[in-house]
Parts: sequence; C-alpha cells; structure tokens
Amino acid sequence: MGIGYQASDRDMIDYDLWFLQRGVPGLRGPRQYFGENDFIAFTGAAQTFGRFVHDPFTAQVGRLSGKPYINLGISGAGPEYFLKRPPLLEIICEANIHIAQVLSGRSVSAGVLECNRSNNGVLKFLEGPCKDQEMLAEKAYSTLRKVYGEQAYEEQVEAVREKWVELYKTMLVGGKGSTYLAWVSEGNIGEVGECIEGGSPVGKFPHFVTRKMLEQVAENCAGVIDCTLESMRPQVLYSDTSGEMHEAWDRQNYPNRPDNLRAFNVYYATPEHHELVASRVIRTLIVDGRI
Amino acid sequence: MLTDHSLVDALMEPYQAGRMNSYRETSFESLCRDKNIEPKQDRFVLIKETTTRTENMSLLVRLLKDARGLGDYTGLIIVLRSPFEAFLSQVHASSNMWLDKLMTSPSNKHFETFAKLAIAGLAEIVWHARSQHCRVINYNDFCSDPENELARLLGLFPLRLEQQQLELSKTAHRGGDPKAYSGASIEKTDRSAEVEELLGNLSDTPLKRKMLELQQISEGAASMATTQTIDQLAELVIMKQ
Repeated sequence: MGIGYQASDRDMIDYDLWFLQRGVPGLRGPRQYFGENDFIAFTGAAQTFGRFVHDPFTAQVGRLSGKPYINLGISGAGPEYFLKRPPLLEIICEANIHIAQVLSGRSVSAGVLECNRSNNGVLKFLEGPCKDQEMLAEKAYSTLRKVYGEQAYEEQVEAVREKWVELYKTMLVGGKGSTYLAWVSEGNIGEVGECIEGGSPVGKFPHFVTRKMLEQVAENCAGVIDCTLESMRPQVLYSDTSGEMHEAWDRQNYPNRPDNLRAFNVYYATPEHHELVASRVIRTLIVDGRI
Repeated sequence: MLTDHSLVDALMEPYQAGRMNSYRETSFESLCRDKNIEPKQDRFVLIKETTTRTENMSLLVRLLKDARGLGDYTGLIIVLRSPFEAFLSQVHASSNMWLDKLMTSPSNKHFETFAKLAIAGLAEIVWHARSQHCRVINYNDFCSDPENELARLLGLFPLRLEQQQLELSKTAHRGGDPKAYSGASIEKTDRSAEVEELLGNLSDTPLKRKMLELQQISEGAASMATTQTIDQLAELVIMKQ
C-alpha cells in the first residue's frame, strides 16, 4: 500500500500521497489529475507506483506527453484489486489512454488461495492443512508445494492462470479509451511465468504469466508494450535527507533479509528501468498517433 | 600536489599516523588545534587518509560531519588505484620503509589480508560518500594528466590551479606515507610487469576477482559520473559477497 511505502521509505523518498476519495488507498503523488477529460490512467503494482524512484515512468510519460495523468499503482495489486473498487474502475474507464502494467499471476484468488482484500500480495489458504493461514504470496506458494504436494501446486498455478485471464478481460471491458498492456519485467515475455524447479515457487514478476495468457488478454487492447530490462543493475538506496546509503530493510522488521542487501533494491524497477518504460510507452503512443 | 596550493593547509593521515596512540579526534576544531592548523575563512584544510584501516574512514566521516555541523563546506575525494599496484606498493613499503613488517611478500595470504582491509575501508567511505560533495579519480589518470585532474579536483573546493602545484620537485615532506616523499620528486613507479607476474601467481579466488572488478571500476572512473562510480563501488564492496 502507498501508505505502507510512505512509512517505511520516508527517509529515502517522499511519495507525496494523495487521496482520490474516502475508501480509496493513497495514490502516488504529486497529484496530476484534477478531473480533466483527456488524461492517461496508469494501473499497476509497486513498479507503477514507483517504489524507490523519484521520477517514476508515469511522471515521465505525463511530462513528455503533456497530458494529465493518474498513477493507480498499488502495492501487490492483481487485477481483482481494481475490479473490487468501483471508483478506480470508473477512472480507468474514463481515461483516454490506459497503460495497464501486466500484473502478477500470484496476486489472484483461485484454487485454494485467496488474496487479502487490501494487499493482493498476501494470500490465505481456503482449505487443507493450512486452512485460514495467511502469508506473503511467495511463502504461500512455497508452503503449498511443500505441504500440499507438487500436483496441488501445479493445479493451483493452472487455476490462477485461468482466473487471471478472466479477470483481465472483465477489467478491460467498457473503457472509452485505448488500453496498452505494459510488460515491466526483468524477464522476457513468456519467460517468467513458468514455475522454476528448485528455485522460487513463483518465478519472476509478473509471476506465472505466460505469452499465451498475454495474447488472450491483448485481444481486448490496443497493444502490448514490451518493457523488458534483462540486466537490471541493483539500485543503491540513499537517504534523501543525509545522502548516505540507507537500509530500507531494517534488522528489526526484516530479520531474514541478508545484511548485504539491506540498502539495495534488487526487486523493484530501478530508475534505469523506469526510463526505459517511459521511452517505450512514449514511442508507442507517438507511433500510434495517440499523442 | 593539491596541498601545494597557496590557500590549502595539509593534514596527512592524522588517524593512520596516530593509530599507535589511539588518536581519534573528530572535532574539526580540536583536530586543527592538535595539528597546529588555524582554520581561516578564506583557506582550506585538506586531509589525506588511507583506506586500508577501516577506522580511519569511520573517523574521517565523523570529522566531516562535525565540520559541516559547524557550517563549514566539506567535500570528499576518493582516489582509486589498481588494487594490484597498490598491493605491490604496500609490499615494497612494508619491506623497506615501514616499521610494521606485516606484508613483506606478494603471497596469496598477504594479498587476501590487503584485499579484505581495502574492501572494508572502501565500504565504510562509500556508504557515506554521497552525503558529501564528492569526486572519484583514478590514480593513473592523475599521474598521466595532472593538470586537468588537478583542475577538476580543485573545482570541488572551489579553487583555481596554481602553477607551483605542477612543480613536483618543490614538494616538501609533510608527514604521512614516507614512500610518497622518498625522492626529490614524486614519480609513478611502472609496475605493469610486476602486476602481470602477480596476477599469474595469485590463486583464482573470489577476492582476486573482486579486486579485478575494482580495477575495472577504477579505470572507468574518468568517463563516469561520480555518482555512478560510487554506486558501482557500493555494489562491489557492500552488496556482493
């Protein structure tokens, strides 16, 4: 959640959160949308929110296109996050251009796992030995594989893949503008979705999403913008106030984080990646005559 | 050469030189008083310190913070050198000049000790580097083009290059590392053949590979923005294990 990031990252960056209306989570600021007719809506997760980044791609695209924009990047969000929030859906439908970051397949309620309503990156077991237990998605999938077995894990992955496509199709119906899917990942399209044997049980972001899934959803879109950055360098994190390196993952709250990684972002899109996304999005919009 | 500027007072390795007496003064005023320097509004104090002792760097960082707290302008210059040349230079100095005969042969064991100390010291300074006005330079670039490199560094103060800074032979012994003042002038020793031999003799260890990476970063420093070089150093000496 934006407020969670603001609290934990306050020494590094001020996200300047603002609130669209009561009941809607804090959005990444500064606010650049004041009810205009011709605007861009960005939907996505932490990458779109721009965690650890002073000038996220949303702001860059807004600036370069000269259009008002709204950043609906929500930590851990899957498609159902937006579907369950009518005020957000209404904004998405009103946008002239909708840049939809391809969201994680792990943040989908299906099979034996259900997403937490506020944070889709937290999953609850609905049945079996771990019934009612809630945990972060990666741990949940790891537990599922270990406790419920390989077959249950594979069935779960299949279930969320089907559900992901269904949810996306629902989400992308009824918009008045053009929607582009933005693939923001360290892995090429179709090369992150498969479960990695012996490695992470969810693979790389956007976890579990295959080329076929993307193609199914893309039928309802203006296009897919490939923003893959395969060799993303780690981002060194600095305090905005002191200029010194800053441990974003402190020992008290993140005891299991390796000490050598506490002041490095090795997961979220880095400033370099944001620049790449912005340039690809702008290029696409210009070529398609949208701006 | 930096200290040859008419407006610069030099302080050479106060913590390294004072380590036997546990010298740890980090109040800028007290340090200057201890070293008989009178800080003045229109003058600059340049402190040179060595990174191969981590505590030197911790104390230096605290000193810089203290000076800034007093309202003084502070800056940091990180001089990177080929770690293999630096090691050979230490072996030479340890054998011939220093009182501590700790690193007298270019063995794997001594190299590991040197590399670990160098990484720890660099990690400490790199952690804080971007809190200062900072420049990172390569020692070889400095030796091959002193006029431009000096002018670039002086811009950090800011000061204008003075002609006498380029006349090395006038440099007087100011304390600190004796090997820097052993002759009538400062000349960079060509160690390329020795380095090649050393690289052939050293075992292929993670530390050696890390030092090779450090050498690469050092060689690229002149063509990179300081912030990029610092980020690369942070990745190498803090993140990679």
